[in-house]
Amino acid sequence: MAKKNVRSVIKKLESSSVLINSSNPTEYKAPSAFIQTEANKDPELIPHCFSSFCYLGLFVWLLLDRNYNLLIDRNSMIIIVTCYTIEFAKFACHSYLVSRITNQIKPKTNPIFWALQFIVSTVLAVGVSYLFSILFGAPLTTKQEQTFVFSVLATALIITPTAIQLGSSILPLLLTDCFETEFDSTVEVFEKNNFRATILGGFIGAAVIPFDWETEWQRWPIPCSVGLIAGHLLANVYEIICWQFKTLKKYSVKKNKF
Amino acid sequence: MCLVLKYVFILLWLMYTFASIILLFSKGLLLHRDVLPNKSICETDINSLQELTQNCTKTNTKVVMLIIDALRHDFVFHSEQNMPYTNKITVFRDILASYPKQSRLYKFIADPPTTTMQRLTALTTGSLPTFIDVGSNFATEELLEDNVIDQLVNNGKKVVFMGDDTWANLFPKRFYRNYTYPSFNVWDLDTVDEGIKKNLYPEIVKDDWDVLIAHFLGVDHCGHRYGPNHKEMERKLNEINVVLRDILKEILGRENIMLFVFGDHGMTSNGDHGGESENELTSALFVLSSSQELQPKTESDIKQVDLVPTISTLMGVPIPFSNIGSLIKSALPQNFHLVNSIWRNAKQINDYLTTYSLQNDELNDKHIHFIKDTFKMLDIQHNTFVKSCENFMQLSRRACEEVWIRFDESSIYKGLVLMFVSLYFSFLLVGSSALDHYDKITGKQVFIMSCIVVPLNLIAFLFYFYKIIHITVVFFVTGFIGTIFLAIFCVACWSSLTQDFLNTNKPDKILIRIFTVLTTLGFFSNSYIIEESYVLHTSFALLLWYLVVRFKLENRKTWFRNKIKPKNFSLKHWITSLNCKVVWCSILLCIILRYSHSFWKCREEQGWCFEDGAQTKTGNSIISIILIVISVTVVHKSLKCSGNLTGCSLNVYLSSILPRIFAVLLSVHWIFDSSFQRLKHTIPYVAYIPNVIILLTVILMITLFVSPLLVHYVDLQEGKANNQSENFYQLILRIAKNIVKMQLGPHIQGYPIVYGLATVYSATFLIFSILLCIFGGLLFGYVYAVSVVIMIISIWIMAMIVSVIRHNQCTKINELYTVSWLYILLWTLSSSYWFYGTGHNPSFPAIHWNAAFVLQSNVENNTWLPGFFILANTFFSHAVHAFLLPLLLICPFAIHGAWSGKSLPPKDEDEQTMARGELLLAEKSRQMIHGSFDLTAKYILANCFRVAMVMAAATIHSRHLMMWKIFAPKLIFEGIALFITLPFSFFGFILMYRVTQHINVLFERIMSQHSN
Repeated sequence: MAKKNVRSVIKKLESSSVLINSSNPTEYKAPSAFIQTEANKDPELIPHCFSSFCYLGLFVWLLLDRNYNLLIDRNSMIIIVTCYTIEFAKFACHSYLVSRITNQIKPKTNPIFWALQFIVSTVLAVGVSYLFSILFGAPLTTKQEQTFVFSVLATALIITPTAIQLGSSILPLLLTDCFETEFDSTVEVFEKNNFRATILGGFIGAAVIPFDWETEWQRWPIPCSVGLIAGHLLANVYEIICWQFKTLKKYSVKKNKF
Repeated sequence: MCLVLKYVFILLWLMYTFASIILLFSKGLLLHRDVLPNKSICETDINSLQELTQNCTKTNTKVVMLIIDALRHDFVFHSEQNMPYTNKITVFRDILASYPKQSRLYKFIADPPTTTMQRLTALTTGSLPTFIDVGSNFATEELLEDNVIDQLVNNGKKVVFMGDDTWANLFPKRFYRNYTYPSFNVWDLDTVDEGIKKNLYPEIVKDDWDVLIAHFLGVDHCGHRYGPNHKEMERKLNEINVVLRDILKEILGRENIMLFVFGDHGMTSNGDHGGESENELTSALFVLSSSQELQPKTESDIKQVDLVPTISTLMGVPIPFSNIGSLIKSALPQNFHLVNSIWRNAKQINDYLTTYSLQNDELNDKHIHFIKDTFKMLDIQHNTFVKSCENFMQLSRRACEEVWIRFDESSIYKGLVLMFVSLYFSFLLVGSSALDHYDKITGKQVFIMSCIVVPLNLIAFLFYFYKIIHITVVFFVTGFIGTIFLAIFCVACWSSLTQDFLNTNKPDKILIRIFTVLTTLGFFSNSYIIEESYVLHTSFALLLWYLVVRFKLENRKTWFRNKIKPKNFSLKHWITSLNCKVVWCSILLCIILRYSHSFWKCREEQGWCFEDGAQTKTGNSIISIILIVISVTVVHKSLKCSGNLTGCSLNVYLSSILPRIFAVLLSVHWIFDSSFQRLKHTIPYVAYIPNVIILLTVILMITLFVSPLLVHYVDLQEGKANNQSENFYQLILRIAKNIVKMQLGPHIQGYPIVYGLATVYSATFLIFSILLCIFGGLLFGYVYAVSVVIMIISIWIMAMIVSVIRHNQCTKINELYTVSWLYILLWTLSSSYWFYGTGHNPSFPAIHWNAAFVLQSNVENNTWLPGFFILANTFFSHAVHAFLLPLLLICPFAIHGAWSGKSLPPKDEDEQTMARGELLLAEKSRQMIHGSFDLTAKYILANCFRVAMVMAAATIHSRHLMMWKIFAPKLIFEGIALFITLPFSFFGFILMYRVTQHINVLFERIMSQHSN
C-alpha cells in the first residue's frame, strides 16, 4: 500500500493535464445501462465526480479576480462552509447510493452520539492542526487569525470527510500504514490518500512563500490553503481515475471470458 | 582487521577526493588578485613633462591620519534623528563653520569586502583587495604589494604609528616609532583608544615625524559588542569627539600639517561589518589643512582608494605601483601643481594596467585597448587636460572594478565536472553489494590501488613544493586520480552493480532521490538561501512525518477487536500502542525544533526580523543550568541502571564522576558570566574554570577513545563474593549471563558476569554526547547553551524514532545492519537545520566572535586556539551530527538492550536474540563494520551532494548581483561544514570499530578464564 500511495503522490504531482481531462470524466461511460449497474455496485464514483467538480469550481473561483484574498481572515468562512456543504452532500449522495444496494450490512449508529462525536472531533482536530501549523513554522505570536483559519480549512478538507465516512475514532489510523496482506476497505484507502495528498498540497503550496516576489498572494496562509484545496481536488480526481482503471480491467476481463 | 583497513582506506580516499575537488573549485571561484612585486621609483632625469613618470618632490608638509574604525557616515554628518550615535561628533561641524576654506568633509565610500584587513590594504596600496583574503583577517601577514607606507619609508620619511596591531603585522619594521595595542579582543572597548590618547598628544608635540597614523578601534569593538544603539556607543563617540577637538586645536596652531580623519568602513544596524550594504560601505572623510587654503570643493563622495595618490602627492613620494585611485583635487592645498600631480597619477595607473595585462589575461583586451586609446588621447597642452585625465582614471577604475571579479573558469569547470562524475560513481558503488564483505572488491585490490594513488599524490605535492606546478594542478591531479579509480572500481564490479539495479525496484528510491534534489534546489535561489532556516525546518518535518506515517500496523485485528461492528476502531488500544509513542516522540521533536526558532539569528536581508528589535538574545543562566543538570543526571541514572557505570576501572570512574563535576563547574561559570561579570576577575581561579573544563573534557575523550568499553567484568572469584548486593542490576546480569552462555557453549564453569554489555555501544556514545553538551555549553555561553543541549536531545530522540521505524519496516534482523538513504537524508537535514538552530547563518557578520574568548589565555600570541573555538562554535551542529551518526545503526539494538526487548514487538523466530541488545552488533562484527562503513560513506556522499549543488548554484550565479553577499558565503560555509563533517564522521566510525575490537578482546579473556 505504501508503494502505491507513493506512486499516487508522484502521479498527482504530474497530473495537471489529468486534471483538465477529468473535468468531464463522465464522457467515457457512454453506455447508460452500464453506468447504472456499475455505479450502483460501486457507490463511490458519483460522489467523487460530484465533489471533484465542486472543488474544481471552487479552485478556479479562488484564482479568479483575486478571490484568494478571502483566505486570509475570517472572510474565508464562506469557503470553509462551502467545503463542509460539499462534503456533506457527497456523504449524502454516497449513503443514498449505498442504501440502494440491497444486500449491504448497515452498521447502526445513534445519530445524536454520532453528531456529538463529530463535533468533538472537529474541535479537537482544529486544535491539533493549529498546533501542527505552529510546529511546522507558522508564526506564534502574530497572525493568529490566519493560522486559525488555515487550520479550520485543513480540518474541513482532511478530517471532516474521514469522520463522516468512517466515524471519528478512526482518525489516528490515518497516521499508519498497512502491510499489503492486511485488509483495508476502499473507503479507508481513499481517506488515507486524501489525507496525504491534501497535506502534501499544503506543503507544496508553502514552497512559494520564501521567494522575494513581494506579491500579495505570498502572504502566509494563501498558498498553503490553495495547496490544500488543490491536493484535495487531486485526491478526488485520482479516485475517479482508479475507478476507471478498475472498471476497464473488469470490462476487459469480461470481454476475454466471452 | 584487514576488513577495517580496507574500509578505512576507502573512506579516506573518498574524503580526500572530494576535499581536493572542492578546493580546486573554490580556488577558481573565490577571486584573488595577483599581487605584482613592482615598485614605483623616483626618476631623477626629467626631460619633459610628457615622459615624466614618478618624480619625488621635496615638501615640508606633514600628514596626520586618524583612522576611526567603523566610523559610519551618519555618526559624523548632522542628523535629525536622536539616536545614541547621532550628532555626537560635533567637532567637524564647528571646524567647517570656522575654517571653511581649509577643511573638507566627504562621504568616504569603501569597496567590499568591508573587513578591517582588506580596508587597510586598500588604504595603503590603493588597489581593490579581493574576497579570498577575507579569511586572513586574523592572521595578518606582511604586505608585499607596493604601498604608501613603503614609499614613505624608502624616501626617508619618518612614520609614527599608534593603535591597532594589525598595522604592525602588515608593516613590520617600517615605523619610526610605533605604539601598538592588541586588536583581537573585540570585547575590549578601551585599551587601544586609551593607548592612543596617552601617546598622540606628546607625539604631535615632538614634531620629528613626517607622517603620523593613529587607528582608533573602540567604535568598531563597541559596534561588535553592543551595536550602534547602545549608550556605550554614545560614550565612545563622545570620547572620540573630545580627543579630536584637542588634536585639531593643536594642529591648527602649527604650520603645514594636513589632517585626514576617516573611517575604514561603516557598520550595519547590528554593529557588524564585512558585507556590501550601503551602511557598511559608507564612511566619512574629514580633511583639514592647518595653514594653507584648499582647492575649491567639487565632489562630495570620495572612493577609499583615492586617498593613496592624494597622500603620495602631498608627501612628494611616488604613487604606489598598483594604485587605481585618483587624486582628490579639493583636498590639495592651493599651491600644488595640479596638472603635474594628475598627470603622474594617470601615468601610474596606465603603467600599472599595462604591466598587469601583460602578465595576466584577466583584464580583457577590449578594456585594455579602450584604456590605452583614452590614455593616448590625453594632451597636456589642451585646456581640458585635467578633466580628461580624471575621466581616464575613472574609466580605468571602473574597468578594474568590473573585471576584477576574476574567475578561473577552467578550475571551476574541472571542479564541477569532477565533482559530479565522482559523485555519480560513488553513488553507484556505495550502497551496492559490491562493497560488502563477501564482495567483488577485495582488500588486495584496495591495497594495490593505494600503492598507486598515494605515490602519485605525493609526487604531485612534491612538484608543488618545488614550485614546478601550481596548486590548482595538484588539486586537479589528486581529484582526477580519485575519480578515475572510482570509475575503475565501478567497471570492475559492473556485474554486481547491474544485478543490484535490477533487483531493487522500489518507488521509495525514486521518491527519496526526488526529495534529495528538491531540498538542494533551494541553493539556486537567493531568497531560498536567505530563508533557508525555514526551508530546512519544513523539509525536515515533512520527511520526519513521512517516515512516521509509513509506520506499519502489526496486527489489524487487535485494533478492530469489535467483530460485530467492524468499523469501530479501538482508540484505547491505539493510545497505548507503539505507533502512538512514535507519534508523541515526533511531536516532541517538532516542539524542540520549533522552540529552537527563538535562537535563530536573522540575516541582514530579513528586514521583517528586526521590527521587534530583539536581535541580540538575552537571558539568564537559570534555564541552561537546569537543562544541563537534568540531562547529566538523566544520563547518569540511565547508565547506572543499565550497569555501564559499575566498577572502578579508570574510564568508567572518570565517566561517572567527571560529567557531574562539569555540570557544577559550568553552572558556576555561567552564574559568574551572567550575573557577576565584575566579580569574576576579583575572585581568583573562577576565570580559569573554562580551561579546567576543557582540559578535563579532552582527557576524558582521549581516555574513552583509548578504552571505550564502559562495562564491568566480574571475575569468577569476586563475582561470588559480591553476589548479594546485585539485585539492582539483576536484569542486566541475566542478559549478560545468557549471552555469555550462548557464546561459549555449555561446558563453561560458572557464569561470567559482565555489567552493561547490552548497551555497550550506546553508553560510550551517550557519554560522548554529554561531553559534547558540556563543551558546547562552554563554547556558546549561557544563552545559546540551551540550543546546544536541546540539539543533542533532539538527535537522540530522532535516533530513537528512526530506530523504531526501522525495526517496524524491516522483515529480518539482518536488515537492521544497513541504514537506508531516507534516514541519512533526515540526519543530513537535521545537521543543516541545527546550524541555524544554534544561532548561526551563512554570512560573515553572523559569526559568534565571542567564542574566541572562552579560554583565559593570551589570545594575542596565539590565533590557532581562538580560531579553533570560532570554527567549533560555528560548525558545532555539523560536527556533532557527524560524530553521533553511528547512533542510527546502534539505536535499534540499544532499545532492545535498554528495555530488554519488551518494548518492541518481536519480528521473527530469532527475535529472542534481540534481547542481547548491542552485543548482537559485536557478535556480527563483520556485518556491523560494513554497516557502519556504509552509513558513514552514505552520509559523506549526502553532504557532498549538497556541496556539489551549492557549487553548481555559485557557478551559475557567478555574475549575480547577490553573488558576494549570498552565494559565495553560502559556498564557503557549506564547504567548511563539509570539511568539518568528513573527519568527524570518520571519528565516529573509528569509535564504533574500537568498541567492537575491545569487546572481542574481552570475550577472549572470558574464554580463557572459563573454558579450562
